[in-house]
Amino acid sequence: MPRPENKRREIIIWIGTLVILGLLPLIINTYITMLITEILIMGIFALSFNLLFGYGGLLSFGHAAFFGVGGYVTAFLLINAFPSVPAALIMGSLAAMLAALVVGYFSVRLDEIYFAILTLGFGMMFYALVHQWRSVTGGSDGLTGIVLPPLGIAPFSVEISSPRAFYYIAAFFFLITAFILLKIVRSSFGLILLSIRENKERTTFTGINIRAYRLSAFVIAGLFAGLAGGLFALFDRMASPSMMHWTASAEPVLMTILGGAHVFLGPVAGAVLFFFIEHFITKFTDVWMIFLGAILIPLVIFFPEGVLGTLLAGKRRGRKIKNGEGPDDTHS
Amino acid sequence: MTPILEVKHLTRNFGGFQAVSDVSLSVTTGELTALIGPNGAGKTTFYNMLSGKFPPSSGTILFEGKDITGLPPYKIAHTGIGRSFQITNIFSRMTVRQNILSALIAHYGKGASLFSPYWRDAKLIRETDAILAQLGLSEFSDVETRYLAYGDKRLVEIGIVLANYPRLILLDEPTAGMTPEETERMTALIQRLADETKTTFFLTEHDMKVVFSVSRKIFVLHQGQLLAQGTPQEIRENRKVKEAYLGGSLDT
Repeated sequence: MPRPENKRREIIIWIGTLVILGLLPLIINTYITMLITEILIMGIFALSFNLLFGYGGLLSFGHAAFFGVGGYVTAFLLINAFPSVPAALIMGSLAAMLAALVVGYFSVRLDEIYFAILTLGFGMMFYALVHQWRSVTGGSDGLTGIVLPPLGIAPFSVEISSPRAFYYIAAFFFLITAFILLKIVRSSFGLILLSIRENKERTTFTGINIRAYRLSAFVIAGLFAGLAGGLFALFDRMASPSMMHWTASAEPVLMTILGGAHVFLGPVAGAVLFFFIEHFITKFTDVWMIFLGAILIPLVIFFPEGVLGTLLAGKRRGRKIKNGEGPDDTHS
Repeated sequence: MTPILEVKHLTRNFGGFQAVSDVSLSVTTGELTALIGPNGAGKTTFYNMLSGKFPPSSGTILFEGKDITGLPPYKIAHTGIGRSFQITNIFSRMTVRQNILSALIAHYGKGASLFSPYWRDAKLIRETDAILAQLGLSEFSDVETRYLAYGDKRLVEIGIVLANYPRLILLDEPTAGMTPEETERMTALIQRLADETKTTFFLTEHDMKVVFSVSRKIFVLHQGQLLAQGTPQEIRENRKVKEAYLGGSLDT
């Protein structure tokens, strides 16, 4: 449990992150700026996934469905309805939240592998839907031709179509998401969610309606997955069916396992590793998946709690031994 | 005295097997009561019906005069019945304090607070610390329960149950697997809690020494049926009970 003296350290971390994210584009080239933009967006996606997985104990294999709904709705509204990025993003996120409410209603009744398979099934249904519904979704071509309108009202509007400007949009939403989700996992709701992950039976017998909590977590996760999807569509200037393919649902799973499911920023660390490994290997070879696999295997073996999780656990253990205290929890 | 719990003609079938058949009994408010019986007598099945883990095949359960038959566990918990399990059932990757807090949040229905940090809720923290002190677990507050000794884990489970402030507590073999010292500590704790609080305890137990030393009323289940009931003295002298246990274990 976080103690009061950690509060100052945390404020320093937040300010540090803010400064680094703010200054970074000034010293890196366009290519790296875009790479980090993608990491921030996928970081939002992976963080939303981990609310379910790391904190709720629910392994969803269909999380890309909400990423896709967010992406498609955002893209559709920008192309066909109104030229406002914030409005389109909000509507996209809400649509994803609604989709999560429906999928979650049926899925949270089940556990473990059954939950995973059911969410996978729903994910494939959503994929088939966008793939077939050509008149609205553009079929396999997706929705293309997104033009990013300036943000704000003239004469105070700012251009956001440059990679650097869009990086700041992504960074802004990343920080907001991280802040809100961190609040949630540390709230009373978060502790109950953790309890359900740890011991479903004991939690029920203390008076908790497990389904209601799981559904709430599912809906919140859907909302932020939708936000990530909306941002991704803006970033790519298109919404394509590949956003919803079942392999896209595997990405946040991979990132979370890679970075660590039991530390809050684990999934983000995973996203950083994933993209840097991908982008640096593709410089040398097209079969980067083989090398990614070859790198992932030892990482999973030697960092059982994820790279960030294992490093932090080691550091914490060292500090505890020095202070002569017992072990502490790893969720703070 | 009014009964806190009244069970009428409770029956549970598993396929063709009748695990509990036509059991009627009532537990008096404030009276430490025990449910005993040889292995497979149906004690745990009986408890599972009382706490809502599964509904009875037939019969009714009245708690404080209110029909709670077939309610889901979380609703039964909110009516005022708490339970522990035969196999330790706690949150292992959470600290001792978090274990208790979780049950308190459930009790007060504060789980819907999405943004308020639970460790800043002064009332919750105060009550958590009081429960931990009551159990002698204060020094382990910030230790994850998976690192605790077995006996302490069982105490944490009692703490989780207490944090629901139930008026009736069902303890399913609270001393199972304990060392003699741990058993003594648990027995003393149950005795003390029963004396100090208004809570009614209803426990199953294998250890006859524990049963006869703490309980004032005993029910005996045998092959799913109620075989006998009475004070410890009466049960000790009951011939049918002795036969059910084949002599041995009642002589302690």
